[in-house]
Amino acid sequence: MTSADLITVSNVTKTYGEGSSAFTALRGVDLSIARGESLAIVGKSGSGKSTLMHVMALLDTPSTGTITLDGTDTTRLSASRVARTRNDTFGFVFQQFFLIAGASVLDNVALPLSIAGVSRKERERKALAALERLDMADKARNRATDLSGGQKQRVVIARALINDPEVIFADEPTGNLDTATGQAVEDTLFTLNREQGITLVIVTHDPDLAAHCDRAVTIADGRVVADERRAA
Amino acid sequence: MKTRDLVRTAVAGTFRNRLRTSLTALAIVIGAFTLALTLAVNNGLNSYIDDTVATVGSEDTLTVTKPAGEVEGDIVRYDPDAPTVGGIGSSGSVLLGASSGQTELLTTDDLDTLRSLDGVERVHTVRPVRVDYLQLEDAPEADRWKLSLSPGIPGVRFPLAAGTQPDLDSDEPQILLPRDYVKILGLDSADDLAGRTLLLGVTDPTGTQETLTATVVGVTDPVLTFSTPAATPSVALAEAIYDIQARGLPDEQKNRWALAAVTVTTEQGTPVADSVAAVQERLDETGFQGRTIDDILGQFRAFFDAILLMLIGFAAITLLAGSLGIINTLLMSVQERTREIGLLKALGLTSRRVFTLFSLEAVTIGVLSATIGITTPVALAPWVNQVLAEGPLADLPGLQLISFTPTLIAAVAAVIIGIAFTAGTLPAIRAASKDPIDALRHE
Ligand SMILES: Nc1ncnc2c1ncn2[C@@H]1O[C@H](COP(=O)(O)OP(=O)(O)OP(=O)(O)O)[C@@H](O)[C@H]1O
Ligand SMILES: [Mg+2]
Repeated sequence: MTSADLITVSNVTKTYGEGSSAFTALRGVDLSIARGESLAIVGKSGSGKSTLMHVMALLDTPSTGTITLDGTDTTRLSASRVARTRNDTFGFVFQQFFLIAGASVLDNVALPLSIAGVSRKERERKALAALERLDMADKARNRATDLSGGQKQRVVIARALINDPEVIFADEPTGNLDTATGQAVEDTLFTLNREQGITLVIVTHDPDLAAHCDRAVTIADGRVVADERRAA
Repeated sequence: MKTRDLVRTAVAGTFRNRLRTSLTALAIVIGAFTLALTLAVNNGLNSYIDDTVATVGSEDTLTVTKPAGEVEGDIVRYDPDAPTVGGIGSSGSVLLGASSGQTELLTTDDLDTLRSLDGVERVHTVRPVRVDYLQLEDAPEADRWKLSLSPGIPGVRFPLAAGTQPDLDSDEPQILLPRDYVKILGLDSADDLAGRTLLLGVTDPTGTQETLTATVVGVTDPVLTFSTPAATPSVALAEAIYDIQARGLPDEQKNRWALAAVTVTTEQGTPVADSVAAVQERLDETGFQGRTIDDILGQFRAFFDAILLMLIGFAAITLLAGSLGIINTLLMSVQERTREIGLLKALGLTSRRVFTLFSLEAVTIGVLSATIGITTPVALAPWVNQVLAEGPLADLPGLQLISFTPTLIAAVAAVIIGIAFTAGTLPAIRAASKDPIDALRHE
């Protein structure tokens, strides 16, 4: 473990349920992610990719093992501290869009700042700037539900980067999109990684997307079975 | 999340499903309406009764009569040996709710007994007087009317439609007339009657009728408890009437009084009611009956209280049903918005804030319901009061049946919002305890 490591996963297991219905989705994962790295997590469906991402993103707690964030053992943090970390250090792109139906695009993008308690003026300014970057500023006042799939995904990415996160966790960010839109979303993510040094953790089935990352970790049956670095 | 944003989000959440929210709120609105109205009526009646108490007698005064024999309940058993009261009726008992014939006149001995009773500070005596008729000074003889007299008692203040309270100790013959006489005497308003001079016909024991004059100092509004409108003479007038009525009677028959008003000695530190109750007991032991104004009005209060309790019960049932509605609606809402809650938590909203968010949705429903449920009766009250005052309650001026006070409004609003908040607790706990992952995986 070096000080450059932002996230360190040590011997993590995750078991869902109890007794006879118990299912172990992670069976002892060790993984270190360096600051500024772009990491792809690949593997078959049901292998435990999303589970691993959720545990790393502090959305879920491991059954055993520890997640260290920036040198801090996160299992020792209070619930509100963990919530604050998710709010100000992480950005999320989930497997589905997760937009608030009735709210405007602007309010959806500004949601992390609203949770953080940023003033309305400030968060609208930032949300507009984020939408601008994704070419979505003209849709700011629309209702989130009225957008196309590709537009929704861009709104979701705008939301993920609005709080200037250190890490963006993305679960199948291009899974629901056509090739061209998927490509645009991919470009945006890598631009953020390159220009702002935002660490990317991307769960994907898409070999092309995985190949673009600095590093690809393959999960099978809850274990890391391969860890490949892209030839520089 | 800032409190303002939480409130904004909660209000937006509440109105997302307008129809459902409206229907849920409606049940609470009905409860709030019933509760507000009931309490306002309670308030109206009680302040009216309190006014009446203040009007009719001071709390340290007992009106004392002597039952003409053994009393069962409020009725006196007939005793053939009891002394009959020749010629002089005890008309003064109108005020006490006891019908004449049930009480004996008080003698000088009786008054001495009363004066010597422990705890009695002052004894005010009332003569058994009655007049044959009254007539305006300048009116024709055809315009003569019967009149009941009700004694003036120290501390008693009457609700006045015009004029002033009588000065009981004045040497002038003064009289207070009920408002009912205004029309009968062919006048337009109570103000026309106040200040006029009356002729009163009084018959002496030999059957000769004489005329007395008296000034109308005031015109009274009716009081809740009295069925017969009665006039109140000043002491000077009552004595003048009695002089004629008892003229030539032997002293033994002449020195009689209809009743006495006993003022109870109040002591520092002892509640007035306690001192009064002690004297009341002593009176009872010595064969008198002493009644406070509260004894007389108590039965009215008990009656109103029973009805109001029932109405409050209805309101409570409605509110219970309404709060089940809130629980149900919010549980559905929490279920439907599982993914949204998961998202909020994933993005860093703490469980406590999620709880607050859904509690605020319940409170929003409460505030909405309370606003509608309370402003409606408040807005309608003046109109309803006016309709009642001109119709069924015309005989009880001064009775504002529906009477709201700021405290009452605030209390009802607090109760409604409190109920809504309480009802929201269960759904809010549900929402707060959702795991972001489960919520995000929720289909
Ligand atoms: N709450 C849960 N209770 C029980 N089992 C669960 C739960 N969540 C996930 N699992 C199981 O854990 C395993 C890993 O799930 P996970 O979502 O991590 O897979 P994945 O690799 O992301 O698959 P996909 O590529 O299809 O998204 C699956 O077999 C899944 O059925
Ligand atoms: Mg997955």
